[in-house]
Amino acid sequence: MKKIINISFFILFLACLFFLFYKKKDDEITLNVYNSGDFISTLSSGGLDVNDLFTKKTGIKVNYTTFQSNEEMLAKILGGGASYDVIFPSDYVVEKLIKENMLEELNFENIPNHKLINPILKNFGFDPENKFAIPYLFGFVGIFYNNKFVKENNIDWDILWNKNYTKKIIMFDNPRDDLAIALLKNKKSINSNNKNDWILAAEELKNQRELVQSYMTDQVFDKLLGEEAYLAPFYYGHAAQSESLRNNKNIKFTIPKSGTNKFVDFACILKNSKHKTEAEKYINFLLTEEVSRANADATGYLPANKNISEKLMSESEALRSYDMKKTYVYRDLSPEISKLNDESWVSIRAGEENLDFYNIVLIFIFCLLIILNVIIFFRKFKNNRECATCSR
Amino acid sequence: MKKVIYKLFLAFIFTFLYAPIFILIINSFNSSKSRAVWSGFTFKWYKTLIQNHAILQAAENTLIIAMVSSLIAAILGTIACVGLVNSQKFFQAFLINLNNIPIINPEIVVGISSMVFFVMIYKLTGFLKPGLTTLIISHSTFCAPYVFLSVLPKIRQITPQIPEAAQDLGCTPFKAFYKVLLPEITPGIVTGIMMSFTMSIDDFTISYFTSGSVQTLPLAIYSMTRKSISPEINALSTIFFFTVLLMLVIINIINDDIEWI
Repeated sequence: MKKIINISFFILFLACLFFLFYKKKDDEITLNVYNSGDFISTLSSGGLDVNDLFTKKTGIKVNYTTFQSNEEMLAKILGGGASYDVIFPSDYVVEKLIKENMLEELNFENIPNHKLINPILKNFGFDPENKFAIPYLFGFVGIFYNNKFVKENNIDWDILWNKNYTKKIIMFDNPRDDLAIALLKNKKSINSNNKNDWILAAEELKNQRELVQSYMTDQVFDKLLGEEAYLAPFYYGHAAQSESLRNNKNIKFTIPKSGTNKFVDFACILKNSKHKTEAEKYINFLLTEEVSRANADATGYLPANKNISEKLMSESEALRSYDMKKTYVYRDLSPEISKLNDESWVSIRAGEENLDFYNIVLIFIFCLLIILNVIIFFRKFKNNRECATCSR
Repeated sequence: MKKVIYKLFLAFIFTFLYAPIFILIINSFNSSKSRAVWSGFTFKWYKTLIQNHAILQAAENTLIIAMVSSLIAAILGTIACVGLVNSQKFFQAFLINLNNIPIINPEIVVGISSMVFFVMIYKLTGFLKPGLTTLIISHSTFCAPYVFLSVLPKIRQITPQIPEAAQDLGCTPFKAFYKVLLPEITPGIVTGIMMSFTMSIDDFTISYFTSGSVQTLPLAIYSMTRKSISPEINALSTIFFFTVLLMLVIINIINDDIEWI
């Protein structure tokens, strides 16, 4: 009886293995896409599945993989281990990739929809004619706050250094965004070439550390909704950003008038991609109105498509009348300043956990327990050693 | 009185271990994405999970890699053990120490060195493009020591004269291995396979560096931590959890008379 069950499980296992490997022998074209996590409309966000729709319309399969940060993606691509066709880097990373000559030039005959791109997303310094990169989604950094507890008007960046909100502030978990906020507070350029600006910004962040509850990006809205935190700078697209945020009357958003960061994520094709035409079709597909609207709803950011983005911006109180000239896009920083920022970030985060009294008491009790156990163990061991016939 | 304290302690340990998993399972039925707010019981995340090809592909890749690499690791580990008992003492000590290296080495060192190695071979010969194959190779590499360590005590318990006696009685060496040795060490191999399977599914660092354009489940989940982790991951984890639970229950019912470990 047992043998039959074992054999049948084994056959089931082999069958599974066979079917899974058999599927891979298809020779349809598969596009390898590498995008940021949670950055496209899927069924779980309540919208349409963009990749499925693309496959239905063109027959090209999409192998959709995701990365957590631009640095991770860069490391993979520059390390030579990857074979992606379409990648979605952020603004300053596009500049880096262009310098390293890793992007293919785009053939606009295959991307007729580039006429639909919003004009405020054109003419970036590093790629004036969008020859290498097409904008995909963009947004602005602003401050989310709970107006039950935060009663100020005309919120500006220095509210994040306000001692009244000690341990109720959440900051970004990456160096570039936090340093940009400190630079904006000091009224300096977020792409400054002056080393001193960055050093002063790092000092500001070190001073802010005791006011910060935590440095995180994925649970920010949870904390705001649960009223565990009152202030959090974060990425913003349009008013209907998250369902639970929409239902909550107290959480508001504002962009400080002194200026902010505009972040744009681009779609690019890696050099030596074997499916360049299909990749261009994919990028073209992303610019259509239907897909743009779905992506905007799903991610909460603004799509590159002019009609949809203008409509969404006009619906948002914070963006409606904001001066676009005060929005700045990240540029690639010199290696010297990048290195300085990395070191500053380590020292900003390093002093986070201060051993307070309770921790020390707990550690002390723990050590006592260990010592007690060791003493008891040795006593028993000594007693047992006298037993000559014990089998060990 | 002592019994009550022991039982309380046990309950506390189990609560500590399983409370996060239970919250995960409960949240997979939560109709809002936020874990702070409960807004109704729903199966919708399970429905969208079935249609989310990216996550399903990642889960499929993870399972394939785990199954294949634990099989390869089992073969490698068993052969190494059989070779070990038939060698000189010096070589035995050397092999055991060599086996400990992949275990003790930090995963990030293994990951980066594997990546450099595979990329170099790819540039020189055009074979071994970082992808599914390299993932399976690197996973087998760090899983084989665990199989080795599980099989080793079992194979040392066998008196070495028994396979010799079998050969004296007319077996070919292969039959002696297959019919005499293998049934004795099977519990060790099974334990080793189970451990490699778990370690392979769980592995993040090494997969991160050697995966090329293939995505495994830990990588997919990690990539979601930038914005917010979709409850589909909760649904997937719940499915994994109950599948494993079911398998263990079935195995325990079938093997009531034999103690495996």
